[in-house]
Amino acid sequence: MAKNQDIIKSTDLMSDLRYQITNQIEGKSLLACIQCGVCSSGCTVSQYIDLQPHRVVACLLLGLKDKVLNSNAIWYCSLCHRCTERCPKSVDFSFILALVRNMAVKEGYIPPEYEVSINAVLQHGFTVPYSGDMKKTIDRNRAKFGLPEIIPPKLDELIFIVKETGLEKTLEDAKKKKKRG
Amino acid sequence: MKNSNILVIGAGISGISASLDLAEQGYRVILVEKDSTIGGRMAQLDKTFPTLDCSICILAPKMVEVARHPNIKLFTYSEVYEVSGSMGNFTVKILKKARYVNEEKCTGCGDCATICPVRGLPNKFDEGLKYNHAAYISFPSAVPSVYLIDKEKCLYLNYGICALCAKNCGAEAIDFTQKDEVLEYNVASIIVATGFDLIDPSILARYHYGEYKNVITGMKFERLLCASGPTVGELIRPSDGKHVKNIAFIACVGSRNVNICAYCSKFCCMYMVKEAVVAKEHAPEISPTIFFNDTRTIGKNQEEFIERAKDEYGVKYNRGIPGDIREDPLTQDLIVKYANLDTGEVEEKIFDMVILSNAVIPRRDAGHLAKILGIEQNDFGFFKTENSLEDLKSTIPGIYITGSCQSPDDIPNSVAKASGASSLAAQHAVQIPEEEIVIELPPLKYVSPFDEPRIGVFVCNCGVNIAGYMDNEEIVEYLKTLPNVVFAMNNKYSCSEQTQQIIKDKIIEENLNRVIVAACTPRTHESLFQNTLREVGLNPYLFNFVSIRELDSWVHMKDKPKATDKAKDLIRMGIARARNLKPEFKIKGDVIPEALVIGGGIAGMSAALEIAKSGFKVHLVEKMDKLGGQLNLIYKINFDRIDSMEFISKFIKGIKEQKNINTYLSSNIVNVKGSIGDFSIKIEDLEKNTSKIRVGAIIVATGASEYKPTDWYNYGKDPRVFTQLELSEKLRNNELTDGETLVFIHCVGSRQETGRSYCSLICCSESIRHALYVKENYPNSNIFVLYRDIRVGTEEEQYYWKAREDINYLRFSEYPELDFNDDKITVRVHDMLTQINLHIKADKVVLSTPLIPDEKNKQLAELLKVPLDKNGFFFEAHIKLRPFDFATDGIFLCGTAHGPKGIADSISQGRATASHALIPLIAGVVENEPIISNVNPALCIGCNRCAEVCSFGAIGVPMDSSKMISEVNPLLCKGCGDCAAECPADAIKMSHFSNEQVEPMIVEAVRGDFVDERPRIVAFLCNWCSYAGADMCGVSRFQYPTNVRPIRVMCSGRIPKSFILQAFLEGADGVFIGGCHIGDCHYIAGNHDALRRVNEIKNVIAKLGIDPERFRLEWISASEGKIFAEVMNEFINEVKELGPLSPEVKA
Repeated sequence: MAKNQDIIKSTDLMSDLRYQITNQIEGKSLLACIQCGVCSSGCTVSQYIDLQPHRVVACLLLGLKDKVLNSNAIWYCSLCHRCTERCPKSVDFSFILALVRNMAVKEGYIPPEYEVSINAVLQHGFTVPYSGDMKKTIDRNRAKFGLPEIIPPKLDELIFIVKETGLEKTLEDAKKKKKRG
Repeated sequence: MKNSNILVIGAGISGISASLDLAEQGYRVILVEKDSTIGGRMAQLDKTFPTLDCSICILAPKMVEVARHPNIKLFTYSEVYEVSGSMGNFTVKILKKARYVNEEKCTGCGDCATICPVRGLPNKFDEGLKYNHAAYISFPSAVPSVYLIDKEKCLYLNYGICALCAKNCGAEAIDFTQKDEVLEYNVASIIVATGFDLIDPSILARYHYGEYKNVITGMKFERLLCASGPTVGELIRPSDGKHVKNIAFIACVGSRNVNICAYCSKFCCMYMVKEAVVAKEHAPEISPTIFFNDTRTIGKNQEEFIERAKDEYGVKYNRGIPGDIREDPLTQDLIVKYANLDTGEVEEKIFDMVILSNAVIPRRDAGHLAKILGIEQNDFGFFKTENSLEDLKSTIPGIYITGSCQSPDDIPNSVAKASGASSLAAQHAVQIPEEEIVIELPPLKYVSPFDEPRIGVFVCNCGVNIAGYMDNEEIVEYLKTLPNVVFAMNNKYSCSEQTQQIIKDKIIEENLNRVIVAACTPRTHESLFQNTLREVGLNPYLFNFVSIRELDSWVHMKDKPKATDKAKDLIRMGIARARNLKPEFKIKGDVIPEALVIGGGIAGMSAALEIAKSGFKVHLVEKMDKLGGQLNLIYKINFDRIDSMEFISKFIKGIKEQKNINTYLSSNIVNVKGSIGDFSIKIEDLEKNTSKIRVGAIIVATGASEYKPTDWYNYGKDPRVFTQLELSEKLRNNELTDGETLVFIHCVGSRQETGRSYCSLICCSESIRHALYVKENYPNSNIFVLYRDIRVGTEEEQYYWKAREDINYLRFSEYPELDFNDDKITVRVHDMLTQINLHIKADKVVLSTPLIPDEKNKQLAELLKVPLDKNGFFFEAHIKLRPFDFATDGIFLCGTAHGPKGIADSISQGRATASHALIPLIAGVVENEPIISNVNPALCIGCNRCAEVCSFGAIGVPMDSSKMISEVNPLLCKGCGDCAAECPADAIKMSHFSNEQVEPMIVEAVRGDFVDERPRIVAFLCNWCSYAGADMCGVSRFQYPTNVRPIRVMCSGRIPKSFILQAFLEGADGVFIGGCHIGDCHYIAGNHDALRRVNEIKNVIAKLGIDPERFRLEWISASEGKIFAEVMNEFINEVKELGPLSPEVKA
């Protein structure tokens, strides 16, 4: 066998993985892939990710769920849509990745950076802290352009929305299952 | 009333092939071409794959033949604009657009273009890389060789000023009053061969075509490669003229794209590798990289070509199509970002130039033409056929389609389809009645070898093209002083009607028995003057052409005295040959009006059917006990799932209904004798009963069969492992169980490094077909397809896409390993797409194995004296232009006996062989040019070396004769003269190029009695490549010194060592031999023999004290005019430095 890598048995493949994506309207285009590699060469974050877009698709089609969900590619995607724009078969990779992210969170694959960001929003209403020296710098810069200070969002409303949409529960479930981070 | 006319639309290689076939069969062809020249795309190509033949070298003779053929009415710069009626009786209207140049008067000299002040118009032929004047010709060897005026740009036509061309045209051919003309014809049938267009690659913004100057198309690159192209073959890039080093080719630009062209363009993969290899041959420092997804080979020897490109030429292949090109604004270098699918990673590289393989699309006006003809188009806009088994019949009876207007196709397939279409189109027409073709000619005047030669010489001024660069008056005065010259004169244009009449009158008045015209080139004008001689009863072989334009005035434009002296020498050489010219007569043989077809598969049956329909008897011999061949083993055919049993029985019924077909089942051919027109055949059946028949033509259609891979994967031992064909049988009998895991393994026994190296071409689509069928009928099956490249046809791409939706496709580079220890088979494979090692637990393993040639081919090849290729398939005469002929006349080849191919292609090829076999059958006689070998029995020593060098089986000592004297079959001899050069006893005389005719030329070439110009070089040039290259050099006005005296021979293989020695002994300071590139020889292998003789004579020359540097052999093709000039300059300078050959050596 060519490469010194883990061996996967066909019986361990999740043979309906491709259909889990395609049964959602945004994922329909997955099946069209013919593995030409155009998406990967158009990808803006290709140098940072451990699984290039064409390989993510190949893994999804073959049923290698863990390999995809463990990849940083699904979180690093900048949603620039260059893959979609270039794909000769109109595979909408950006949307497919969104579905894969949902799948990942449900399965408990959630990178710590995401948790930190979400917590920051729930605590302060911002992903970037707006207090102390940071607040001073931001306010000074805004003042240069004649902009007012930022009005912080109403935290109780935000938390209400998070609860109603089920994000809170999803996050809690994910923490319980936690598989990474 | 039946009609003799057949309309052919489009004069690319398809239209040309169809027209020549029909014309040779005795029909009148109306050939309509939209462009101002015939030749189409093929004329634009530099080389052809996989043999790297020079494209124009092999095409030009066919173009000239079309223009000359009495049965072809050629309309260029014309369009069909209205068609009515139906099969057997169509009325067509043709719009002949005004050229503003009188076609009869134009001599093609180019004086109109030279003076035209409107310049800088992008030339379509050179893809806009070169510029025209408003008076122009598409390219130098355009046919017809007639200029035209760009209506939009001409100053006179638009503003009423200028008209300089009219003043400069000595032939008075410019005619501004010309109007578009409408012509009407009744035709029995129509062949559409309009070819293809290419998509504008700027549609894919990411490649910045049109914005970045160094991003070009494959077609533009083709012109850059071409020695007669805009950069005379220098590979320099458009932005700064820098020589390129790193170049990238990108595949599938717009094709295999669901939004642009949802099909595969088919031939781009092959032309990319060809262009990469040719670039590498131009400059070894060039490093080409090909970016692709699946490499797709579409024909014979192509897989091997790709492997050679990788191994021998170092062409790099990267699987993965780039998504981005960026330009470095300072250097204009191109930064290409791409995925490497072999590693799964993304990389970046800088290139000097990027070449895009832009998608092949239907002609932009295909819809318009479809409407005129009433035929339908398919989903992609190509002309539609009934189903996937039919490539030729359009949706309207009597209208046939061929070439890339039906589906993108390469040259051999286009040629085969063209001939196939002609055999179908011919069924609706009758041959031209004899009374319409007989031309009244006076009886031939008897010229005895003992008659004193009375030579007339006509020296052409060609306006100022010749007379402007040499003193024609002086030349004529000089000629009058030479022995046997009884008449000499100047003409303004020798090819004009007026001069033809003068020549005829002078032949009679002066009782001339030899005629010489010193003018442009024999390659285009010899036959014109030969006909003139014949019209006054002089044998056409008593004519001799001397080229003083392409070989003199145009290449020595700055030295009038020397050019004049050279012309005197050249004409004196011509006179020396003319003294020994003899009347020659065409060789004729009768033809038995019956044909033999060996093999009753689909190809053989198609051939038999078409021949029988034309009214000739066919003997169809099949070794099995039933007709149908391999089709009997297939369940459903192609993706439209045609039932094979139904299809085959319909076909067999057609055969049985034909009274003209005699079928011999369970029979074999055991003996073959004779040659074209009259073969004696012995057929033997299982009971050893023999039948003897005589036929005029033979078609070989013995087929091929699926390889049974007994040394692979326990095949034959484990019933769970079987081939695709065996799967087909299981599907027919419903033998599979639902819910099983099946593994398909591709390329088992094909594309191997050792052994079977070829790609079997049809297995990928067979595998996809079966996978889809299994998934549909056994929905719970789990299928894994392990492949290397997926190679499917143009429209089949869609089915591949469909299959991928529900089936696992894994790509391997190392063959999977199988484990049989379990109750299931474990297939271990490394998948390149996901980069994982997978162990598949399989219930069944299906192997895609190649078609392999019949073992009995060897026996049959020996009987027919035809060759096999290294894989054991039959070997055709020429891989590009004669894919279904053997080099031996009268024997043809079709179907999988030639190599793996699909059913539709086999049918087309079967019909194509019928078309060629019908040519002699219809004519009733076979004719051959009298330029053939003759054996002098008194001198022959029976060594049989002539047979060894003959590629056509035309000469040799008969095995069953006790006399041991070589014999020539005058009908098979092609006239290369290789045997005459080889014969150690000097027993073979090559008529029209005999030693008695060539040797005096050598004497005169060296003599030169006015200027003592040194060095003096004798050059022997082969007619088809080097002489044509010298012509191209002349047309392009590349200059070289006047020291060379060329002698034209048909083939470099004609040149015996004695010619070379004689030239030195007579006093030549240098001897040059020019031939076709190895592999390009018009006579298959004459140049190999030339090379051998040159190597042998080199030692002799050295021993005589002659510096071997004085002797040179070069391969120069018809397009390499620039190279011809360079070689001449270089060689002349080298010999100059060596100084004159010393007198002692000469003694």
